[in-house]
Amino acid sequence: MNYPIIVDVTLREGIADPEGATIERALPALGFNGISHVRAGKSFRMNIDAEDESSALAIAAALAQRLLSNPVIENATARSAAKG
Amino acid sequence: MTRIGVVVFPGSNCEYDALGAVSALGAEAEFVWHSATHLDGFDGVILPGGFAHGDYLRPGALARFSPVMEAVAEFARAGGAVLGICNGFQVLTEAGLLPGAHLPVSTNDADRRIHRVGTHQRRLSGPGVGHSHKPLFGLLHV
Repeated sequence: MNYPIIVDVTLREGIADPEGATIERALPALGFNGISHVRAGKSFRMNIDAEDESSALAIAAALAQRLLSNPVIENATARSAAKG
Repeated sequence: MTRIGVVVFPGSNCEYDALGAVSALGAEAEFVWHSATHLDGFDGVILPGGFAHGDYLRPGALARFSPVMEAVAEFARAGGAVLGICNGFQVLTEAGLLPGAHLPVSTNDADRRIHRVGTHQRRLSGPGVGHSHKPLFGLLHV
């Protein structure tokens, strides 16, 4: 079977996020108030051939650890992109 | 004559500077394409600056899987001198040949930027990394 998977990669807590901070600082000028703790990240969508969805998620998690994220500074999570 | 390999990735753009600098020091320099699988006959290896693989994903993240990086790791394990400049340095951190990671830098925090550059320099000159001053640095007269 073929499973649609999304991998989200975000900077770990405590790692400076200049992109998120810059976006946050720009928000009041656009009329958006009361928004804090903005963190930028990346999202990867893919289709994975696997026996079942948990196997597909395991493959995505391995890919996320090896390539898509740098575990020293980033967290990665894999989730299903199937429309429930 | 001292022979230095200059590794070229798709997207490197400082390889000619490295080649020229090595030549100016009186050593012989030669380009090594990223698909090369050995570094036989070189006394040192330079990973020059640029934007290997467009810096996509993270700087160095894709370049670290180039065939030549196996050879660079082997070269370093055998005690060979490896110099990573700028993007080349980032490739070495992604490859796990240098500790730590390339941190995002806040462009409006000059103090922090200086601190981080200093952190990299300290690691570069630390024992086990910049341990041997030969063959490239031995040519320098500072």
